[in-house]
Amino acid sequence: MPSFKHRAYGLNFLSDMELIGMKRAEFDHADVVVRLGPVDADVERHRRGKITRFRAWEASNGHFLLEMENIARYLVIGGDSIIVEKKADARDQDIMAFFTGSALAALLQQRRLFTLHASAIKTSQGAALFLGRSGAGKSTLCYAMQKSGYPMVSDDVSAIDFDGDDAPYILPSFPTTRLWGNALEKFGRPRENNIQLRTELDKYLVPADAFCAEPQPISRIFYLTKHNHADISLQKMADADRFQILSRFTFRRKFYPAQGIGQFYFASVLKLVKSVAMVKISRPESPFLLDELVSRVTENLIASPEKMNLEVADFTAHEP
Amino acid sequence: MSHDILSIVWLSSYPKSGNTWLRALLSNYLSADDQPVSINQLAGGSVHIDRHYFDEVMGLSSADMTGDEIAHYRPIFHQELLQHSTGPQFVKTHDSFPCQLSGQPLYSAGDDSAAIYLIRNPLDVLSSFAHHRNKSVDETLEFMADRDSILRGGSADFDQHLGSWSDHVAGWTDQRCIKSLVIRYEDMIADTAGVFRKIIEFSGLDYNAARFQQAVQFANFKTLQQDERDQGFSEKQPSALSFFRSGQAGGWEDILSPCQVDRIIAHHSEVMHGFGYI
Repeated sequence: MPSFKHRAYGLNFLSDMELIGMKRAEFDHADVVVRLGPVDADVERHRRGKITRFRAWEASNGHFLLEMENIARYLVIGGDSIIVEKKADARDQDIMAFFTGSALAALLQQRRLFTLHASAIKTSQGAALFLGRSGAGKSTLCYAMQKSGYPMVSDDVSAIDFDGDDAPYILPSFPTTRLWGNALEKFGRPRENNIQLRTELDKYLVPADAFCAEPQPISRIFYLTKHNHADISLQKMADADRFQILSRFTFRRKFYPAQGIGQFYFASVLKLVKSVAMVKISRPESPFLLDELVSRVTENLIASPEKMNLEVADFTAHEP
Repeated sequence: MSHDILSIVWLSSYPKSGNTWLRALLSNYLSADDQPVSINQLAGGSVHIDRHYFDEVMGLSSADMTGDEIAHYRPIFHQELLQHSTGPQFVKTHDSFPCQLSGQPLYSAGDDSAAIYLIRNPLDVLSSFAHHRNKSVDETLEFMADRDSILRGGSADFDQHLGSWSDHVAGWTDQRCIKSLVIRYEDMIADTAGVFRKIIEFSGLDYNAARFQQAVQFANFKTLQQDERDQGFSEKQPSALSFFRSGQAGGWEDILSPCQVDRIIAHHSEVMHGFGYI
């Protein structure tokens, strides 16, 4: 069986299948092995203690198992191994679509990394993260900021570690952004030049213009949300709101307690609340106002957190 | 009628049929506060169409799924909601019954869920819905007659299949899968306390006279309108001037032309007749 070597989140992956979209690399020592094969025997062997079961996934202190019907089952164990059991007729890009989301997040969590639903860019002060739900515009803004000269650090899922002083830093993911076809059109980039995420979806893996491959301290987190007003607003976030939003947008938050590391998740949120300034950006659903968004974010990046002179966001209003 | 503990009580209706008003009544009843609950913090949100919640519960990114896969997984997601709810949890839905998008029922049959279906005179629905969508009355009239009408969810929520107004009402009021209480909006206006008492009992909530009186007082239409003027309402369409417009029964007479009235009746006469609207 052929083997493929990739690097992502500071880890070397040795894989039986090509990890489409992830950066190729050369190394002697693998941190993570991705194997193709049946998972049942290993699931039985690695279940430890309480098992949390949902319909599409289960987890315990010793394992994480995800199933996407008609595509694959993914068993993640020990923070260094992923076994992929392909369903008949499943295509590699379909398998990868769910590998790079939940399966990879479970692995990062097993390695005691904090997973945040955020894209990130490198700035002169460190990494700036764009946090929010799917569809908030994280990837589109991240890509637009690349066009303004800020190298990409991660797309969609950010892996965060803490140094000895509890200061957070981000591990770069891989130099690919997932963009919908209509977003590509905004950038005047033809669909055909990019790998399609899945045959049925108008969504593409777009190579980064510039990529920062080194871990970066985190300087600021922008929480992207939508409102039913016509303008863009930026507001500072109070501690309690930062805690609430960071908790809510922890990527695959439920996987942490299910894998017996709920305390790690909680402690990570608290450390981030204490150390990173957060700005809430509200924009209309339509039009996207991308150019203005880039300009407002850029202005904000240049100002120091103390001089941002923003109002504090009112979180008594409903948060989508 | 009372139940054992319910996991989910669906608050189902065609849009602009009093669903948010009912949520305001329930929210104020469930609140121990002596101030009205903000319209931006109402109970009964549509968690079942929330893509972020789906992704976290299912462990799968809906943004990376095909339409067929989402249609397949949504009923499974509902079962997860039922199983993990400590209940009773109120969930607003505008989906038709059964859901035409997936071709299979979205709602699981069983003793641990129930539905309150709200119905409103389609002539008033039309007036209100056109305002809410910021579309013409004629365009909205056709939308209400179209069996394929979809309420788009955007990037945050799943689409909901509405179908025609008649199919929506018939689908929910004829179904026998989920225990249901059918309420006419006009009856809620005429006798708010009497109808709301029925809803409390149907939902399996304990009756508390003080909170009941307070809820009816706090959730009156003028308060909701004032609340929207003061702080805005996050569920309002960006293009609409307001969400809480008139709240009246019979307001259509000042808005619809005789021709528009005839067309609504032509499309929906059977169901309108069945519920005493003609």
